[in-house]
Formats: sequence, structure tokens, C-alpha cells
Amino acid sequence: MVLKLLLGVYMCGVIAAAFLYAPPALGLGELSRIIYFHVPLAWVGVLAYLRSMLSSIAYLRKPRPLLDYQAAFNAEIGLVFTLLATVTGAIFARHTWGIYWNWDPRQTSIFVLLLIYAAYFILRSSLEEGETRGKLAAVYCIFAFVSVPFLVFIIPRVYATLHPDPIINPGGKLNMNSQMLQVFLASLVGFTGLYYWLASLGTRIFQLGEEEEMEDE
Amino acid sequence: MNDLYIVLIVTMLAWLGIFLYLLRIEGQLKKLERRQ
Repeated sequence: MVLKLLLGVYMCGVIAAAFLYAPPALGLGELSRIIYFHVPLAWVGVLAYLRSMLSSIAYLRKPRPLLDYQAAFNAEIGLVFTLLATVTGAIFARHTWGIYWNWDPRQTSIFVLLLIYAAYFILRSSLEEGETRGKLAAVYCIFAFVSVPFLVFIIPRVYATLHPDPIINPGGKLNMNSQMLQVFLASLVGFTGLYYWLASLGTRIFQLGEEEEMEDE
Repeated sequence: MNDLYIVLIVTMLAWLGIFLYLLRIEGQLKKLERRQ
């Protein structure tokens, strides 16, 4: 509980630092502050998809309902955070490109990613609960994750895009001044903590439900 | 008031809302876990 309270205070500090401590980026002005939320949101999305894929692999090895649930719950977290990253990206686009959505390669690839994971939930909801559904969903989830590196990291770098240069440029260096970098890394840590909290809440809710079912029997 | 401060306050309130909601879920979960 103490750690969770600390996370709450820490994130308040990160938000305050993003607006008051970090300087605005050259050429982008105050709007550049959205980076402290947009990139960590996308990062948590990828992290959740990765965990979803790992749970799916574990489920195929040993079909336990908890693993199936973890795969689905993490995919849900991933979908919500990717959606939030898309919305914050669209806000940035509105103020720099003059339009919320213009099918830029970065926007198109994230849209395809959202569709792939939306299809995962359609697949799950169209099948009866049980081992067959778990296995089919697990196989789909593993294939869905294979597309993540291509859609998030490769395609937007191959095609010409209006999106600002990725944080880590092709030379492998971070193009940020030290104050911005401090806030950026602090935000990444905070969002990662938030993700672990959300994931653990999901697991505990499932375990409680299972114990209740066992008691009923 | 400066737009920057308005966005800061809105973001902070949004986070506090999410955080308090998560704490509430955490508290209720703890209660249920103790009962079991």
C-alpha cells in the first residue's frame, strides 16, 4: 500500500515537472510537453502486449485459466493505453500539422495495431469459454504480438512521416536536453509502475473470483 | 490564467481521479481478500 501511495505522489511530481521544470522543446513550443505522456502511454501499451504474449505462450504450455485471463487482461490494458497514445498523438498532430488525423504512416500503423487487438477480443467473445477458446486466443495473441515491432518501430521509420524523429534516433542517441530527459525517464518509470499496479489488480480480482467459485462448489 | 497552468491543473485532477479510483478498488480488494 505504501508503494502505491508513493506512486500517486511520484506521478503528481512528474506531472508538475513536465509542466513547470522541463523547458519547451525548440520549434515545438509548449506542446512538446505532451511527449512526457504520449511516449510512456505507448511504452506501457507495448509492455502490456508483450506480457499478454508471454502469458499466451505459458497458457499453450500449461492451460491454466489464470494465464488465459492474464493474456486477455494485459491485451485490454495494451489496447486502452495504445488508444490513449493515439489520442494524445492526434492532439499533437492538430496543433503541429493542422489536422487531427491524416493517415500518416505512424497513424496508419497504430490504427492497424488497434484493429488487430480489437479482433482479438472479437475472437474471444465469439467462442464459448473453455480450453478451446483459450488456445485459439493464445495462438492469435502470439501472432498479434509479432506485428507489434513492425507496426510500432519499423514501418514508421521506413516510410516518410510527419511524426517527429523517434526519441532514440538511428544513431542510438537520445536527442533531449538533460532536464527534459530527466522528466521523460521519470515519467516512463511512473507509467511502468502504474502498469504493474493495474496488472496485479487484474490478477487478484481473478484469483478472488476463482476462490469464490471453489467455495460455492 | 496562463493556458499552461490550466492544462497542468486538468492533468493533475485527471491523475488524482484515476489514482483515487484505483485506491478504492485496492481497498475493496483487500477487504474481500481478508474475508476469504
